[in-house]
Amino acid sequence: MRTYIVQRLLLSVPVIFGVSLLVFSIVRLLPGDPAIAVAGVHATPAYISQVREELGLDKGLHVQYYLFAANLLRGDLGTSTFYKRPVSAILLERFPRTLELTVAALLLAALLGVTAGIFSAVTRNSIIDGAAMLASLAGLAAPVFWLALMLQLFFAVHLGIFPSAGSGTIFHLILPSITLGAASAGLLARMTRSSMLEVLRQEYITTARAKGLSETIVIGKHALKNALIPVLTVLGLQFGSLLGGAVLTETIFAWPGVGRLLVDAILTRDYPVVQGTVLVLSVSFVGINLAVDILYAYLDPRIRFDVKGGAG
Amino acid sequence: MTEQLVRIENLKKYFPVRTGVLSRTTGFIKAVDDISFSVNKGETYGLVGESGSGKSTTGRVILQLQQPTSGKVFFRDREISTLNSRQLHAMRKEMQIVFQDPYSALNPRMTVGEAIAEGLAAHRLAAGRGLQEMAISVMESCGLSAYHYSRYPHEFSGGQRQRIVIARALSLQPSFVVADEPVSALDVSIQAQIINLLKNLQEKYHLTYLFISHDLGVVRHVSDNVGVMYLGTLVEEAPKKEFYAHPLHPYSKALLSAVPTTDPLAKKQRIALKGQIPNPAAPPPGCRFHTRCPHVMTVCRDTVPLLRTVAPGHSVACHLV
Repeated sequence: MRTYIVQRLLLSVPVIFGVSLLVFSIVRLLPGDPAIAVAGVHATPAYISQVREELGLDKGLHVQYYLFAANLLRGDLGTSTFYKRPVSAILLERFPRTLELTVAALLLAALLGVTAGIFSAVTRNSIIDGAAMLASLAGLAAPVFWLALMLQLFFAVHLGIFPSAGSGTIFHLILPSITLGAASAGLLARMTRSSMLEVLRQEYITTARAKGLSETIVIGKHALKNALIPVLTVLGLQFGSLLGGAVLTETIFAWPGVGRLLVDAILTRDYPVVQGTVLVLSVSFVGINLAVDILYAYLDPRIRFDVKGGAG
Repeated sequence: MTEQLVRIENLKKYFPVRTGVLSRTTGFIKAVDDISFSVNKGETYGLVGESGSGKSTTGRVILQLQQPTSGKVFFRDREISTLNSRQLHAMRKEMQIVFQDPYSALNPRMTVGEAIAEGLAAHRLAAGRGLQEMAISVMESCGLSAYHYSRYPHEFSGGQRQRIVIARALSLQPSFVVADEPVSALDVSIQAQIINLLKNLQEKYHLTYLFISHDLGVVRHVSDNVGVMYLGTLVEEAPKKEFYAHPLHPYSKALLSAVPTTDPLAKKQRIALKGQIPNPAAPPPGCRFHTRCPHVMTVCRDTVPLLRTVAPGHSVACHLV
């Protein structure tokens, strides 16, 4: 098990290196000149070149990358050209807010999706199953911007029970997390349903019934534990994509997370912030996947023993 | 001596066929269509037939794992198809099942010990430390060792897994076990071990088996009585010796002619059946076997042959007899 974790950790090093290279290049491929953005459109050419020099953008690309990577290893993500503050300090402020929103959305999605999936599978082909699957399809298909606006219109404007935007209280969290989590809930419901149906066909389920176990134990203990393994993988992947997907939701709900930070940074050509944000999001994604893989091995004894090199 | 333990009367199990968007029932698959037989205490009843003949469904309906469409199942002269859930729970202890595929029959997330102890706990046969002791003693009687207790199923071979499945079934000290093709998924060399294990356990614990199989060689080795199913109906039933010496139904004869023998000089006439088993949703009229029968007559095409007793314990459903 320990070798497995170390192996996975070592494998994530080239991934993160690749990401840093990609982020660095993409930012520089974007049209627009950050020196102009900082100096202002009406600045003199002399001032613009002075700014360019200050930002280090006059150096060759390989030198720029070397400086970026070297600083990165020291934990220095650079200084924002727009906020004139260290990027790491800004991210430290913003990232927990995105995490808060993402975790809330994921919890909501897991709770709704897995529950709906179980009920669907158990009452297969019934009205409950049909309704749950229709709802999950709607959740998957609804565009985030549309869903966000509809929720704002209904719950904030008409009913006035939730604030339409901003942050601070738990009530501010509800509409954005529904918006962000809807698609994941739909996906998880479908995954759980098909995975449950697969497991319920197994003969050990029939045997569990023949043993005289109650239906609650048959479903909850024998079926669910096995059915949740593939669901967990999707859950982990969803966590990663929700972190990235938060950009749109945060913008609509004026949520002060990294998503909005990223959008603003792109608009102001704030290279260090764009680089830092994307890098942190990518590293989180890699980290979450690693955590899921380890959890997976813990949950499924077959994987655990294969890794140990025991009888497979 | 011949006391009935299980008796089924006019058992039917139809599965609705649903089609279209509105999933309307457009027909029924008659998996089991009006069969009756009984299993004597301490004996083995071999139920044979091709895939899709309704053998497994019969076994599951007897154990109340599926509700019969109609007909009755008696266990110790008590009708069990009408029991409430509490009475059924008590009855479950008495009747267990061993499946064909030992891979699908074991929960990959439970250790061998857990799987066995769970049933013991559900029926309050043991608790606390006694639970483990009892599980291990059952495991040992099935040829497993105590150190297998905390192993997971994937660490075992097919034959060992089948031993685990048998140990799990026997842990509840049942009097009746449905063995649904218990050796079909195993290597031939392992088959003999498992069959001998089942026979030894039968002697030791006075078990009664319903042995479902398509392998007439295996059935000959274990059974006291044999029943042959074709397309959901029982076509012939006889004591083992009588059945293997004088099979009467053309289908039984065809099945027996396909059993390999160890005598290279024995002259055998193979009866090759034409075609596949017909669709059980639309069984042929008259005798269900007439589409493949080498002796088909006009009467077979429109008149259903009834099961008639031709010798003590030997009955057959065929117009020829």
